[in-house]
Amino acid sequence: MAMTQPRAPGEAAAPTTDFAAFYRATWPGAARLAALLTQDARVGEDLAQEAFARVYPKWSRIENPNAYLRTAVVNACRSWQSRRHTERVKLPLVATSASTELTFDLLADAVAELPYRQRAALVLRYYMGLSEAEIADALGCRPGTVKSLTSRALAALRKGIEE
Amino acid sequence: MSPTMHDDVETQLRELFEQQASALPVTARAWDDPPLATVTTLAQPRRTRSTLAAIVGTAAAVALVVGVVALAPGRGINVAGQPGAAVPVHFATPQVGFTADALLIDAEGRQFTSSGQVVDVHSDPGDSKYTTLELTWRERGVEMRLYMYFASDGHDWWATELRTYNGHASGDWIMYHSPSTYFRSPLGQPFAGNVDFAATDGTGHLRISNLKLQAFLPPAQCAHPTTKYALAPSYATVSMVNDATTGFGTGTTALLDTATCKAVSDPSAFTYDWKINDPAVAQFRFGAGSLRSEATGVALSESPDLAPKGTGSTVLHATAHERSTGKVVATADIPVTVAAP
Repeated sequence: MAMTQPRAPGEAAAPTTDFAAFYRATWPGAARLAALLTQDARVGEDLAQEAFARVYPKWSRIENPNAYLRTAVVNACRSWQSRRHTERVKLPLVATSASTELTFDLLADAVAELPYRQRAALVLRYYMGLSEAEIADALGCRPGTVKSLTSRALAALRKGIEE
Repeated sequence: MSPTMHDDVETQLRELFEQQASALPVTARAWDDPPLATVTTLAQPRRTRSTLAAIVGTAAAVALVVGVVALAPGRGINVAGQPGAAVPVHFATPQVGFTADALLIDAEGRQFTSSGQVVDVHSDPGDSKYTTLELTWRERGVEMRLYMYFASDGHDWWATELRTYNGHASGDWIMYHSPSTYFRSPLGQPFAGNVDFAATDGTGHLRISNLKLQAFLPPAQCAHPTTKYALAPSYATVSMVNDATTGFGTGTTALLDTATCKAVSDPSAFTYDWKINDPAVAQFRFGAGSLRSEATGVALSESPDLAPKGTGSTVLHATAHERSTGKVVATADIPVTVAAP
């Protein structure tokens, strides 16, 4: 997995941020990311919490906590996806016009039906605004693979929309 | 859906994600020691990764990366027989094998067998924990799909989700849920049996007779090795669309040590040459993302991405050399097709 590498034992300690402060600051974003990755309103906070629990034991050795947390969230959501047995509970949408809501509802359904890695590539790119290299780190693949995942996902969405 | 959305899916995606994120009621939290993960909705306990899983994971991590991807329907598999008849089927990707005496999807009383049709067969190569089998064909004037999603914990493999289309002109998914997991079998062994899954909403059945199904197939190059090393592509065929937007992609090809059937521990000990027969069909693209191994960070300028240039078919030749001697240690020829958008 292409996570940000923890420092090797014995290396000088990097400046550390208090984990509780890090948690407070990054919790809302992590919960939202998990919700978007799963497209399920019930599990985002649980999976974000699971990701923090995985980051915590390694806190003192992590050089880039934000990237490490992001990868942990992506992995937690992926594990959940592979074990999912129940229908998803759709994410809420901001109240807008009925036609816009219908459009987004259809698109959200299409996004939810994508294979996890494709959906994750879209969320990390179009919601998080990450570069291909950053997405590749989070997904544990090469930037070129990110291109293919994104392209394939967009092609599937376009095809779904046409239908 | 509006034409606007089709014209600008990326913009709509940004707006959708922003809307969903804004509407999500996330409350502030404080860290509460000791850390406890509270994933109460998970049905299966976690299992410890086995040595095999670690090996497979390591192999995936050190895979030599090559620019290949299937973005368009691959070369379809012709299923012999009269339309609607129950006939033997065999679908295979480098990751999944599916053989059965008969495949029947009963969608709201309409039956689909794939007999006499051309079936597009695709897998997301995934990794040691995840892969898919995605079958798509046209029958009775509509598109039919059978998608299977697989997982592995290093000991066993199983399917986590099965879904088919419902046989409507504007196809929608029928989901098939099982009380536990589907097809659970030890890694390296197929599931064999007759299956009959009822749709969750009661609208259909998925019946497969004498099914032999195996996911996470070991690389075929390890079955009867004749050389110490082998190049193992993730895709049997590189299929791309000649479209600037969607026609580019990469995959992975591992340089395997055939004695252990895992990727070589030090890919930087080898150099790699890539040649394309017909540059009018596809050409190499050397980007920043192509210049390092994801596992080691070692420069691998010999490992380019492949970009479509024109419709047609050609062959990608891959050669691995031992860096210290220049000796050729493995070769592979990978078919490449580029379809019109």
